[in-house]
Amino acid sequence: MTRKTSSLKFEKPVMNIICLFLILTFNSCLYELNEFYDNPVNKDPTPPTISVVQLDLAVDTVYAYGYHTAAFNFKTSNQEIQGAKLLIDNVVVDSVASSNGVFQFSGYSTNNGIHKLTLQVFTKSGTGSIADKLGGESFVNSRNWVLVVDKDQSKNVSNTAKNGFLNISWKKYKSSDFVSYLVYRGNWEGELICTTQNLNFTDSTYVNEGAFYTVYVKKKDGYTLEWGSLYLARNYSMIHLDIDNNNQYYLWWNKIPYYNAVKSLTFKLGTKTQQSTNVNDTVFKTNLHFNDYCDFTLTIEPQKKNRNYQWKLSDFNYTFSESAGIHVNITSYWYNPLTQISKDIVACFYNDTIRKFQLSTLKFISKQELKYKGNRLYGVTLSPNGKFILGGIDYPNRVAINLETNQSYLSTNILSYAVNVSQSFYISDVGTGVVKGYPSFENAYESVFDYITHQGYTYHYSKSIADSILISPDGQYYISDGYGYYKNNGTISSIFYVKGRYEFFPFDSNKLMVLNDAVLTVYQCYPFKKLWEFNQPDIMFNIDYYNNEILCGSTNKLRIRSLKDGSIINDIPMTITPTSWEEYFLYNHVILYANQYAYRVK
Amino acid sequence: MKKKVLLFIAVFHIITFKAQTIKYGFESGIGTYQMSDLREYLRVSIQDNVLQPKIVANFPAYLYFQPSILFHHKSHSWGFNVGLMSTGARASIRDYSGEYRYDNKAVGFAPAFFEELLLYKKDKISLYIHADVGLLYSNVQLKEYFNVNTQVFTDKSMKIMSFGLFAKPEVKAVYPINDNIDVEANIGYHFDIYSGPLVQETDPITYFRYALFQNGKKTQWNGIRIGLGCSYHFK
Repeated sequence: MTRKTSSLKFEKPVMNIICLFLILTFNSCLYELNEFYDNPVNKDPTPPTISVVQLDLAVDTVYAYGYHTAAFNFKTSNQEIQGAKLLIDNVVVDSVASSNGVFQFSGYSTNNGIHKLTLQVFTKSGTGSIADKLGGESFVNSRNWVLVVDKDQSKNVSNTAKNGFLNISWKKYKSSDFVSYLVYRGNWEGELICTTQNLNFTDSTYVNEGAFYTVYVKKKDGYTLEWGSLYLARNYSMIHLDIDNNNQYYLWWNKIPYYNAVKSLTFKLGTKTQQSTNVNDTVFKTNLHFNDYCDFTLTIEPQKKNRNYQWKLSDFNYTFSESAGIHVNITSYWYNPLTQISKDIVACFYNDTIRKFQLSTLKFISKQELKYKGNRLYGVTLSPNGKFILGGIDYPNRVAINLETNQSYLSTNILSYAVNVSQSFYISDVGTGVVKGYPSFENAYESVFDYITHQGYTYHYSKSIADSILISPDGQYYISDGYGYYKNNGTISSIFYVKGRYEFFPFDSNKLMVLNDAVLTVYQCYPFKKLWEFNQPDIMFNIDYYNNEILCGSTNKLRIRSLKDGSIINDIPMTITPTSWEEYFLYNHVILYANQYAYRVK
Repeated sequence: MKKKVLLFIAVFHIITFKAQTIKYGFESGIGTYQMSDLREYLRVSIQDNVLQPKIVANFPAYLYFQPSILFHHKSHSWGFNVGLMSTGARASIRDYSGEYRYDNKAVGFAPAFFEELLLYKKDKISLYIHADVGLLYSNVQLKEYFNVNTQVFTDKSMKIMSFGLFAKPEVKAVYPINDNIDVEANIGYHFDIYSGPLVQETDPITYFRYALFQNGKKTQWNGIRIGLGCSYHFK
């Protein structure tokens, strides 16, 4: 018993040590994987030889216009081909992990010009190493091309008239993947009208009606590239109206360049229609008179009617719809008054601009914007010889501007019965005018007002306001409802009375024209006396004092009479009988109708 | 009948326990391991590998260790032991440009109850028939590693486990060196009675719930066990 006890005491630490030993033994004696397979490799393989079975790239220069494809197929003498890369300027643009396939690259993402195109073919290294098996080792075969990128196809297509037909031509597509050119007509629902390998196409159906052509390149990969387009606009204003030496109006147009495609021409003026098969016809004579409305249609019928002709006949019509006369368009408003400031020049104020129009050339010679310190002018009048302009800026303030010196003279608080700033007032060539006012209606008066010195001279009192007042170009004479006044050294005196329509001569203030019924009389103002007189039974429109010519309206004609004796100088036939004296004016042998149309008196 | 058998076993062991000699033993030896599922799994795993690695170790025979405690009475003994087995497999390829390896390392931990009966005795040498029945916990570590040109692309590992039951009959010869120490030699065969599917590591309850309905790759520790051991006993 004693022995057992001592034995157990001895055993406990021994067992602990044994257990610890066993644990350590177990852990250290677990199976460990120490085996490896060392891959046998060839450290010095021979480079392979790459042969080309197929390569859709040009020999030395590649042209890229848009998206480009190039099929390839390579063979290797030894190591397997891993793939190929295509680089533009050393930047990879496409890669294929095969010995054959199709490269795609785009000219759109490259600048126009010359670049370097590189093709790299990768093969395995042949070492058999892990890296080789994974493509991490390779032999590289490279080849370079000159790459020409041309993305700008806007000028690729052009047109000419050739042998009387429309000929469309285009630049050559130089890339090796070319198959053919496709020509479409129409910018929507376009119609394929030609497939060709030539560089031009003749559209024998086109007769100038306007068209949109698009040329595509069909490529070997089946895709098409828009090679260029061409828009031929209709010339809507191809018809012109002119007048010959016999004062006969005629319509004319340039010969249609595609005349051989034309079958016939049809002319329609008003309700009358006439047809011609002579494509050389470029003139249509009319029996129109000045200011007649010309409603003319030229219809061009093509020899071959294309699809366009079937559903848009109006494209083959050309119209001219305007009044007979030379279209001058001095102002848009016929009631905007013109002032003949010299023999050959009329002027007007329109759209904040003083416009001067030369009658001998029928052209504007100047357009000058005119505002007063940024303010628009209203109710503007020009002095008879164009030296001053007078306009309102706000009621009752008016500004006079000397057009020769550009000096402005603002007059404030001018009494006037003008209820708004648009009321016009005469101004003379010396900067004076007539101001009407009524402090009380019982004591209305008219004053001569000097816009330069801002001084006024009351010369006429009346309980009624004058209907018609006028001031002479030199500012010396005034007429109020027929009563003539003369201002001399600050003294104003009444010197005459006339009845009817009256005007001062623009270049001679001492001469006064008076038309009373059918009698035209020219007076000297001071001392007042009759100079000459004649009978003028027509409706008087205006007088060109510089040429001594009177424009009148008569039955179916405009008539020009002499201011000297009333004799008939010229009759201009009209379809209508002109009656409105506000619409017809004669200036320096030019008749203007409504500021829009002109007629040269020959 | 079942109750009678259980009652007999209990009475038998109580009687023998009373008259026991306690022995602490340690046994180690070589075991072969079938591992057919894991071998197939490794083969399939690398068969399409472009690197074409070779299987350089495929669950070879390896040492096992087994401490035990034994209660001895006359010609009959019983006790408990704990077996520890390990083996593994590797697919590998390496050269100057890189290395690929796929490791599969299996460890089995097998606590068991055993019984021994004396068959034959001559001089000092005794020959026993011995049988183990026990639980088997397997832990398998899968590890894949790949680098090319010093750049490591793959370095990942995963642990999976399974539970099972096993039996191991063997024949054992015992030679006493002195009164306290015996040396032993044995040869036997490990049978997997039940082997559960391998799953990622989890607790036993969750595992058995899963294993009840699932099938899959298994560890097969079946194989011959040849071992030497020694034991120390108190009298």
